Amino acid sequence: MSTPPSEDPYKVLGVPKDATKDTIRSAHRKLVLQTHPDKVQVQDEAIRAQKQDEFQRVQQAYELLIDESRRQQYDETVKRDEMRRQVAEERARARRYDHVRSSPREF
Amino acid sequence: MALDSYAIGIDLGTANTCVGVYLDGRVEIIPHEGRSSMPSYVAFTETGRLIGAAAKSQVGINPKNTVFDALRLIGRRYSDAEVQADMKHFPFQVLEKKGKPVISVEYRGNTRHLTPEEILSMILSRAKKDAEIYLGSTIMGAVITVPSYFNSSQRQAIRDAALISELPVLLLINGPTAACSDYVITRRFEGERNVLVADFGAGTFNVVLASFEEGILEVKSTASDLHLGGEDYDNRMVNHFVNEIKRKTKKDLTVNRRALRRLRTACEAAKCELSSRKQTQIEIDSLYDEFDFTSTITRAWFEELCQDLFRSHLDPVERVLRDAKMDKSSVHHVIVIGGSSRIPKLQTLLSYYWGGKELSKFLNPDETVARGAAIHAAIMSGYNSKSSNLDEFLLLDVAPFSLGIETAAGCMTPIIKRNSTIPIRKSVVVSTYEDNQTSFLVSAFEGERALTKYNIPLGEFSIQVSPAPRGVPQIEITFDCDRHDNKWVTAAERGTEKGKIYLRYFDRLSPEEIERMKVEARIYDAVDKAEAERVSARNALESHVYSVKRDVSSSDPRNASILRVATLADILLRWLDENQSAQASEYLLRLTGLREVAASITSESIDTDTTKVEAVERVQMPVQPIQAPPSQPLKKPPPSADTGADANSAPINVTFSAGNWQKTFKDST
Repeated sequence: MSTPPSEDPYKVLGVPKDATKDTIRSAHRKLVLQTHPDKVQVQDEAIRAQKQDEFQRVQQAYELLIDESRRQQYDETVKRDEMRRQVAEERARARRYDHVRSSPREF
Repeated sequence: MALDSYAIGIDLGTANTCVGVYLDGRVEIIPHEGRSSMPSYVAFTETGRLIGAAAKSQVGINPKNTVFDALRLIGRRYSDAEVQADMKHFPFQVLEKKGKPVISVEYRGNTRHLTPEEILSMILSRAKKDAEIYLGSTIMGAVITVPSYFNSSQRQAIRDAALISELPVLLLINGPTAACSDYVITRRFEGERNVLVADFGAGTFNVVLASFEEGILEVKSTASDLHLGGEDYDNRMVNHFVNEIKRKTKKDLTVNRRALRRLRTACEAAKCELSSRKQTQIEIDSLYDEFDFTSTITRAWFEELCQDLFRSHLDPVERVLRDAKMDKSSVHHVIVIGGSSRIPKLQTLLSYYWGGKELSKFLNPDETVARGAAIHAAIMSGYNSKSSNLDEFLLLDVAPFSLGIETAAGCMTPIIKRNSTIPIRKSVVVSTYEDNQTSFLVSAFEGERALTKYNIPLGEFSIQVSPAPRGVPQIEITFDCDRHDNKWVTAAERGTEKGKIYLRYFDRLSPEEIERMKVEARIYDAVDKAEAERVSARNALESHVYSVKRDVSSSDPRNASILRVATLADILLRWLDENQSAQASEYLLRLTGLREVAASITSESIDTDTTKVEAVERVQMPVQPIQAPPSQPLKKPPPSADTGADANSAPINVTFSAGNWQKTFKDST
């Protein structure tokens, strides 16, 4: 029942697409130290909740990217989606062009 | 560095409780009566309550009112198989109250029913008090460790116990996780380290696999076997001997509970001895009907007897590796903790599993959990001294059990899977399974079994849904689990208001009950304090009497005034003997009297009669009894209250009231 992340995990961790495991780890380390509830010494519940959400996003992104097979799967999905989007866009553009051509009244 | 208030780490164990505090970059273990750990025992007597070492040392004379193993009962239902099995071994009485076990004890002449939460709260408050005395300051809170197999209900019950003892809980963590933290922090490792902790408990076996790098300890997976531990080895031995005795003498030992218990104790001792020796003897005089039981057992025999049990320790080990998707060769350190980790065969078994790898042992395996807890306490309280690297340290803990909801036909649908890093929030979308359903029941459960009836219910609520064919409405259910075992479930049909509940275990103590127990805990404390004052007043009088006697014996015995003091000392000594449990005020009254009389003599006034009589009269001024505790509902007046005194009653039993004291004093002079 794992839902694909809606967010780009690379963006969440602030690492490039070709980041090595070490880069991912150190980015994760830096971010969890800032967001984990144990490290947030504020009383304000709203801020804590917000940090906790942030922590969870970071953790999820990290768990995805550190697991080689999941990362590969994600990358492929993204690539495929990207290609589909491009194809769809091209088609849409072509259709728009069709539409333009088939309505000479506009001229 | 002195602080106003410290955070402590408490290893709350079934048998022993150990307390640590992080001071100036290292952990110190707080002593309990000179030892590094406190027996988790609470005893109730005619005069008061004893906690820790004092309770354990009197277990032989007061077995019915000495409570131990409360951790085995906490957060469980009376009908649980574990509770029923444990009850058979307990010398104290366990009763049922609202489906939960309560312990029945005699306290100051009254029968009292105490919940396991209350017993543990007494142990926690004693731990807190020991720490306060040791540190000379207040305690702001504690990190408490629990066995890793504890479920939500048991964890919550521990929190309730802490509430009753008015000790804020900063965090609850699993024992093996604490040990792991202690290990990686004290060794200050560089680079990535994968650490496996195997906790060989008395009744359970727990394994935690964690990875540590640059200050972040990430728990990867945990696994437990709830019926595998030191007691199982004892049982094996006991069963073996029972069969042997049956074969040889045709006696069935199982009907004689006392004999069985003695055999079990002897087997346990033999098992421990076999960890350091190759061979040992079991000797029990007159085990039953004048039959003396002796047997020589060797380590090899014991290992053979328990071989299959030892082997099954590898299952949870393999499970954690599988869950963490890790190969055993990538584990850098294997740590063993717990009592049975001393068994050589278990050590070699693990070592062999890792191809002869040397296991990491602690210098002090009994303290390491408390040390880890103390480190976490320092982190949670925000106290980090500059010399330490705690600022950089972070524990990413995991949910010990899956959380889920009941779906069609009583199936458990996990939403948060076990071993997920917490805090975590996760949603699923479900739908109705009947046409035109108008309400949807959300029942939350915890556990790994496929059917909810085998899992632990956490709570339930229902939400409104708009009627539609089955499978059409979209209901979003969100589970939320924070760092402090708080769990929420929210549910709503897409696009409508959400229903939200805070999950609490069904059997939890109510806030009113906790309040009541808190008040009672204060009363117990006050009674204990009054009792301590009484004892110290008694000791003060006794030692003063002896010192007066010593002084007098070296003086001229013909001096009349000295003779009188000597007589007075003798009288007081006899009185002390007969009045072991008088009020503190009575002791203090006599102490002042003796002091004044003695002082008047040292000043060498010759006209003894007048001065002394004056002094004696002054002593007899009525003194209000010290009304220490607001404890009337709890306590029975001690047998010799000062009101019961009467000059005419038999002198041997009479309380030493002002009147007859003077009388006796004059008579004897």
